[in-house]
This record gives sequence, C-alpha cells and structure tokens, in this order.
Amino acid sequence: MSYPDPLYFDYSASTPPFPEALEKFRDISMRFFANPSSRHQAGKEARKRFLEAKKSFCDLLHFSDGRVLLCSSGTEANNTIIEGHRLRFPEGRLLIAEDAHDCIWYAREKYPDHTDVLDIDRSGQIDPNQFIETIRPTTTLVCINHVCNELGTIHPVADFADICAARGIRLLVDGAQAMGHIPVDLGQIAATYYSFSAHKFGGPRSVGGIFLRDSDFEPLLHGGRQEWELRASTENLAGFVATITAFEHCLTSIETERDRLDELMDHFLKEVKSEVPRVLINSPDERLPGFVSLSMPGFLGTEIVAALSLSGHALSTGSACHENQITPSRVIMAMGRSGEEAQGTIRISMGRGTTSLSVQRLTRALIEFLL
Amino acid sequence: MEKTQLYNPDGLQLDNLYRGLPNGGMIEITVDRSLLTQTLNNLEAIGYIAMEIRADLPLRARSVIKAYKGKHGPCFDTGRRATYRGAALAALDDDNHLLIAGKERAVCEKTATIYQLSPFRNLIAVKESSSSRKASLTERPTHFQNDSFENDQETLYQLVSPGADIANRSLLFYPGPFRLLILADGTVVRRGQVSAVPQAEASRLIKMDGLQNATSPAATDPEFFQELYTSQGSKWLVSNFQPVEIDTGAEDPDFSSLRKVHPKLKKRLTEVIEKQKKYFILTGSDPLDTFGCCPSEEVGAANQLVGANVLSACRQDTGPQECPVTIYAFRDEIFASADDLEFKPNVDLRKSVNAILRSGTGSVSKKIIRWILLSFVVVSLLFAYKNFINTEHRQNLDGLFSQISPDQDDQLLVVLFHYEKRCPQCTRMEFLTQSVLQDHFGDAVDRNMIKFDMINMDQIDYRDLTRESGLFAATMFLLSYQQGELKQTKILEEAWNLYLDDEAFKRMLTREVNTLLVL
Repeated sequence: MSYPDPLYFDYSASTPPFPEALEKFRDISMRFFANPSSRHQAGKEARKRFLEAKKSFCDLLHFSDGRVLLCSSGTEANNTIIEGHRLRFPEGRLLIAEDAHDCIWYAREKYPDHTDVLDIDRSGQIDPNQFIETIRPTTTLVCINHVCNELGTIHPVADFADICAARGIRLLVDGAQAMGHIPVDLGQIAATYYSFSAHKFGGPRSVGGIFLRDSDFEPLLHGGRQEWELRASTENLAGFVATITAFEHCLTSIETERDRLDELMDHFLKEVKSEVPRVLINSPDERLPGFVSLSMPGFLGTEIVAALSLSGHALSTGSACHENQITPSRVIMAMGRSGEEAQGTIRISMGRGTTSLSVQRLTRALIEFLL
Repeated sequence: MEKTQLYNPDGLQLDNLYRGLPNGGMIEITVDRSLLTQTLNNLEAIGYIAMEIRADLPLRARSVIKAYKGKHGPCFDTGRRATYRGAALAALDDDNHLLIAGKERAVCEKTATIYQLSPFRNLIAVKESSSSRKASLTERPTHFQNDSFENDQETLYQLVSPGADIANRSLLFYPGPFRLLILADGTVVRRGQVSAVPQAEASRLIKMDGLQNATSPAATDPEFFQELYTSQGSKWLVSNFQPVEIDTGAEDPDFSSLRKVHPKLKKRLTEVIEKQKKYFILTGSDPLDTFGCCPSEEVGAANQLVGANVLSACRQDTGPQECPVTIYAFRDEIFASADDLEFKPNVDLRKSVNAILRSGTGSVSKKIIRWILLSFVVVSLLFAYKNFINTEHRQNLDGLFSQISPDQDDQLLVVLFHYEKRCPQCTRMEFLTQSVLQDHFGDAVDRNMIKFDMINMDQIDYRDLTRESGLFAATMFLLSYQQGELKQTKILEEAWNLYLDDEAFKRMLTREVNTLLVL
C-alpha cells in the first residue's frame, strides 16, 4: 500500500498522520519527557514548552481571549462541556442541532427533559431566524457543528455565536470536521467553546481539545491540578506539539487542497450522475471540500461499502461512529429523505492521498456496482 | 471574580493567565521595581486593562500590580453613558476611550461593565440603561456605533489651556487605572511613571485620582498633549500601534467612488485636505464584516474608497473582537514601517479629490432624466402614502413605536423605517437627514439629545408590526421622549415630497426637529 493510500476515501473518519507530525512527536517525547507539573528544571522546561505550544496554537487560530484545554479526543472534549455544564447548571436547557455528532447528540437521550432540538432544513442548513425562535429563556448551552460530519454542511457558526453572545448563552461548536480543512478564525467566531480532534487533520490519535472562553463547568476527570483544574491528567505535550505541526501543514495548503479536491469531486459527481441519474446528492453545494453524501435508492449503504471494499476502496455509510448501526441516519432522514433513501447512503471524503487516478477507479467501481 | 497571584511573571506566563481569566477577572502580580515598566508594557500588549499599581509600594523595591481582563467581546448598545469624575481634564482607558472630565459619553454595554470594576468605581459615573434597553440585549441586540476618537481629541485640544508653568511643579507617581491622564494645561501623566505636574493641581490629583508624591526617580521633561497632537496627530493616543498595511490595487483611483461618499466622510476628507492633515483615524469595523466590533458606516465608506484606490489605510493589529482602529490617508501617502507609520503627501491626488468633492458630480442631462423617472415613482407612492396617513392604520403605530426605546430619558429620535432592499429615495432621505443633523444639530447629536436611527422593516422583530401598522414604504418619524416616556410623534409626510430638493428637505427637517426640541 502506498502512503497515503489513494483508494482511501474516508478522511472524515480519520486521516493519515503527517510524517513530520510523527517525527515531532518522537522528538518532543525524547527531549521533554518530564512531567510539566514537576518542580525540577526538566519539568519547568517541559512546562515552558507546553505554554509556548499553547500560545502558538492559539495564535494560528487568532484566538487571543481564551485558552485551549487539551484532552484525549473530540468526543471527550464535547462530553466535557456538556456533562460539566449539566453539573454546573442542572436547570438549564441544552439546544442541540439535529445534525450534531453522536458525541453531542447523546445528551438528547440522556437528558430528555432538558434538551431541545434545533432542526435542520431539507438542504441540511440551520435557518438563523428559526434558531433565534428555538432559543428558550431557559436555554443555557447551544451545541452545533461547524461542519456536519454526515453531510459536509458548513454552518455559519459566527452568526450563531453572535446570536448567543448577545443573549448570554454559551455556545459549543464542534469543529472536528472543520479544523485543518477550511479556514477557521476563532477571532471571528465568538463561540464559548470550540472543540477539535487532531486525527481529523493529520495529527496523532488521542489528542483533542477545546478552545475555551469561559470555564463555567465541572471537570470530568479529577485527581490533579492540571489544566487549571479543569482536567486532571498529565499533559500530552508531545501529542500536542505534533498536533500543531500537522495543523501548520494543513494551513500551508488549505486553499490549494480545497481547489484540488473540489475539482476531483466535481469530476466524480459529474460522471456518477451521468451514468446513474437516480443517485441523490444529500450534501449542499457549499460543503467541505472533497466531501459528499450520496443516497442510492434500492441499495443498502453497507452493501455498497462492502462491495467497494473488495476492490480496495475505503468509504463509509456516514458517521464512522455509527457505522455498524442498521437504522437509517437521523441526519439524512431529517432532510426529508425516505427510509429507503437514507439506508442507501454512502459518504465519500477525499484528502491528501486522493489522486485523479484513484477517483477514476472509484467512479468506475461505483458505477459498475450500481448499474 | 477570579484572582490570580504571581511574582515577576514573563510575557508567556502573563499571556497564559490572561487566556484563563473570565471577563472581569483580575490578576495580582508582584514585580521588582526594575521590571515595572516592562511588565506594564507586557500587560498592555496582551490586552489587560485597568492596571493599578498598589498605592503604598510604588517606589519601593517591589510593586504590586492588579490587572483585569474585559475588552474582548462584541459591543452592544444598551444606551449606557459614562462620565469621568477625576481631577484631570481627560483620561484615556486601555481600550482607546478618551473621557473628558464632566462630559457624558455614550459607551457600549461591555465598556460600561468595565467602568463598574473597582478601579474605576470612584472615577467614573456610569448611567444605568432603562429596563427596556436592557431587555433589548436579549430580544433585539443592536451593535454599538460611536466613532468619536478624533472628535474627542479635537474637543480636548480646544479645552486645553496652554501656558504651562514649568517651574512650579510637583513630582507625582500615577498608579493607574487609566493609561494616561491629560491635565488642564495639557500635561500628560502616564501610568506607572513619575510626572511633573503643576503644583496647583497636585493636591486634587492626589485626592481624586490617587496619584502619589514622589521624589525619585526624577521625572522626565513634561509632555504636553497639544504638542503631541499637533506634531503627530491623533494617532499618538493609540496604544501599542502595530500597523498592518491594507493592500490597495495597482489600478488608477476611481474618482467616481467619491460621488456618493458618506456626508461625514466627505466632511472629514475635505478637512484633511484643507488643514493639510496627514491622515484621519476611524474606530470600529466595516458593517460588511457582520461580526466586527462596533460597526461604523463611515469605516465602510472609507474602506470603499480604499477599494477604489482613492485612499490607503493601515489598521492597528488589534486582537480579534477588539475595536479596530484604522488610519486612513490618501493613496500612497501612508507606509507601515517596522513599528510606526510614515507619510508622504500625494499632492496631485489631493487636488483632484478636492476638486471633485467641491464640484459635485453627475452631468445635468443625466440628473434631469433621473429626476423625471424618480418623480414618476414618487407621485405614485405619494398617492398611496397620503392614503396611509389618513387611515386607521395610523392607530397601529403605537405597537411599532413600543419596540423603540431611547438611549437616554430625554431624547429626540429621528427614525427612518426602510426595507432590506433600499430604494434610491430612501438612501437619499438618509443622506439628507445625516447632513441636517450634522450641520445643524451637531452639538445635540454629540450629547445624544438627538439620535438618528434606521429600522429595517424586514427584520423579524418588525416584520409583523410594520405590516399591522400599514407602513409600505420608507417612512420618517420624529419621536420625542421626555423622562423615558414617548411624548410626541410626528410623521414626516413631506419627506417624500421634498427628497429631490435638498434645500427644501433640509429646511423641513430642521424646522420639524426644532419644533419638537422646543416642546
């Protein structure tokens, strides 16, 4: 298998790490292995390196009025805010977007009496006016995606942040699918919390985090005073520095990659639509570069994924986190698709390893299977 | 309120602490005397505000500094007002607000909150907003617009009484919380420094602003506002100005962009040319930047001229969500060097701009054709409009007016209701109204006794109410408030008749505003 695998079309589930990021991980692990909380010189040096890394990461995102809290994944990041908020404000209501990732959506089932749903429309968008109308006087936390992991919809989160800021409501934006893929300027997005996951943009696994503008929540992990006592656990300095390295790599090519992936995706969709006109495109026109969600009525998404897997293609039915479920996607259903259409959904997400040749192979394989 | 303590922190530590503070949060740090100035500079650069150096320790081996966080975040207008009550003539805070003693000024909700922090509590009187204005924050938040940075300095320049007595001076240390004070004779007193102030003012400064007697280190020669202002212009007051040049195109200037220039901006450009100023400064963001802090129509208009290659600009490299400060000069007149700005006059361009601004534009024939077409539309609309004026719909206006609230108890609101899609008549009425208010009621506008408000009838809060009230076209009202109550309303029926006749429109509006002001 070449690296990154050109037949891998599941970049929204996870991305291959940048070799430079892994090298940085190794280098920092060896040189700054001391615990940043230790009082000796080695610990102090690790601490200094850690603070420098935090500042440089925040600077890359123009985030100057808050801090970044590190944790082990995007899921932990989102859970930390939701659970911590629930503990601090038990009477407050959560408002969760219908297309939120399961690591946020779970709260609807866990706290049914304190959760409202922010609907998406048939194009997968959230209408700002409807958003305002859905906010209740008791709403204390709003949770939305920056980019929907199933549709690739890019939400106007800066709008929503402004709406929330004016009303004194906290806003959690799940940026897992956005960071490293589209420009993210946290100076323009007045969200209270913005979460990320490093392995979604070429960083190492088990590094996630939250950009915080307040710390009004109870910690999930206890037993240490790290991270301003918001998350006990020895800081993953090497993982964090590797994350920054990966992010910097993404920034250097974010526009050229966008143009390249858009071109590949346009070519792919044009071919598929001309050969299989009944295919439905679920994603809106304005979406994550190289991303599309398709529905094939009469087929099962799992069936398509399995068939193409035999020829080496890696794609998914939707969110990797419920890849094994057989119930149709709530997000696709929310767009007004029938159960049959939702069942026949696949998600194709391209990335750095995708080539025009690999897209041609995927196109041929998919068309052959569907015809 | 959160409070953190630290000893001799470096910039990285201060930055880390700042990020963790909530708005209104405070740090308390102890620094060696030798590090005081550097630490204050670090604190300012990071974004801390209201630094106070502990009163009893200024000149000992160590100083204790309290610093707050609070200037980040969007600015919303809730009708708040603030007045500096100290002994100096004016005070400048860490967010570039110049407060002139005894002069009330409008401030955004965020700044009003900052002024209620303990360092300012005895120095600034903050007026609470009415309950309806407070409610507007959650129901119908409006961005704050008040770019008075240059005007304030001009006002201050007029108020300063030069002729300073250099001999009879006392050495005083200023512990903050303002970044600097300007005294009646123009003496500039900087935070964290020893200044030589007029003896006659020393006791009041000690009593009211917390300055302290000092004998060492010796103060440097006094600085005077009027000298700095005349030699450097108003940019000298901008803290930590790290200029970022805004790119202009290589094409020739598009002078047609000056035809519809905003009246305030037109006045400013004329002034820059006539008084041979190097530049002008605007605070606030371009309204096109939906999420910018303090959107300013004038900034938007000036940026259009930058886009048309008539102006060049450098903006302050502020942090996100801080009120941006932008310095504008005519094209190719301004250059950002390492940490300052350089200016080179573009005489030919100034001449061309001046000629256009003075002459007005547009050929006579074009104007006549436009007038004929517009007149046709106007006659149709007038017919419908008169119907509206004489019908029962008018009774429903009360509901519409209940959505509007004044900034202060006694205020005359000049309100233009318009649709999202603006017609030329509507924009003309706006232009003329701005001109009238600025030319004839400038003082009352500055004091916020008169305020011009534009309300978009397509906005969700107004959509139903305007429909119920029967409003169907851009309409102007005067609303007179006394002690917070709406006492008089007046529909400016003639606005549609007169908008093509500048002078008649201005006379009408001046008369109507005067009538309600007297009432």
